[in-house]
Amino acid sequence: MALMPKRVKFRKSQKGRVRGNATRGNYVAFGEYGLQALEPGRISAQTIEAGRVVASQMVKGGGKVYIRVFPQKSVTAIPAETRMGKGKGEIEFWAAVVKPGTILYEISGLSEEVARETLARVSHKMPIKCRFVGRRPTI
Amino acid sequence: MAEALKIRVEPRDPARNKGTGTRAVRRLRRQGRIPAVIYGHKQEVVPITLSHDDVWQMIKAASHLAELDLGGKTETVLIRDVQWDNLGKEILHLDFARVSAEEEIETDVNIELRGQAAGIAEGGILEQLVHSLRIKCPAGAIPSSIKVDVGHLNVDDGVYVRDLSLPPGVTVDAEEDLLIVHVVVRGTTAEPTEAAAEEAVAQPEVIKPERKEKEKAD
Repeated sequence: MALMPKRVKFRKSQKGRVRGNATRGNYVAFGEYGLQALEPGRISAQTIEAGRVVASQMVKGGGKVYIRVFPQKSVTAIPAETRMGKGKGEIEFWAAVVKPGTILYEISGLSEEVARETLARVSHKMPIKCRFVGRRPTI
Repeated sequence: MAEALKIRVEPRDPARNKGTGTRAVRRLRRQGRIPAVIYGHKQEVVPITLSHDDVWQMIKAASHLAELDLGGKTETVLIRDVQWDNLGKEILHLDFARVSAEEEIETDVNIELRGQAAGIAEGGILEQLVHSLRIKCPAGAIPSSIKVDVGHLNVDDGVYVRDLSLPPGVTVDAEEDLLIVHVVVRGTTAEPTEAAAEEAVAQPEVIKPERKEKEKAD
């Protein structure tokens, strides 16, 4: 089940550019370990789902997986061999816009070793470079 | 209670705009020093720098208090704020507030779980919902962490703020009914059903502007 918004103000959006670093959602907030994006990019709803499935298979109910990104942006495409013009294409998929530093997934209830292995497998599904992170120390 | 670490700090170069400009602090960070500032007690604000290693030593020791040696003058300070870079790897800046040992202060303290919950053997998962708590206490009595014993927790049991055993003089600034940690039954999260999947295939509803609806009504 791919994620997408329930209600939107506008169905289609402009492409835009991913600039700058994440200033929000850039620390582990709910779990104990997380997967952090190191590059800017778009992560499609299908990819987010693929990551969730891999994480759930590894966790097997022994822990909890949190998804920290949501595909808010619609991406359109025009069919192949179509002449230019005639307006914007139809929605192809929904994607989450990700900046460097964004936490994509979080995991709790697992040992660091298992969490590292789980998130490494999830990172293989991602179209961008990611790294394993822990909680920031409270001082 | 964590001991206050003694750290030697240096004032920032007053000749270069007190060493507080962007270029000056970037240069300091390249040299392995972290810019910081001391304020409080209605005294002047002092921009300082301290070694990267000393800061990480404080983090590892979970020490909230520090005794800063600034040119022979010692000041007891509390870490009030920490600025991290976007990846959470490096500390960019620290705020130190002057405190006296008897002064009542507010700070965040980590929660440390102790023991193996009995409910895990019965097929439960230990879920920690709160990782740190805001406490009020004298500055000289800040605990390094709040220890929570989870050994007695069975499935569907939890530890609330009211159950915490706090050191004397420490009060928690949170609701008594706040759940900190509990043991839940494994695999309670429902997998998406076919009906949900069908629902998801549909496109999102478009929020129509109210103005047009009003015009139609007219």
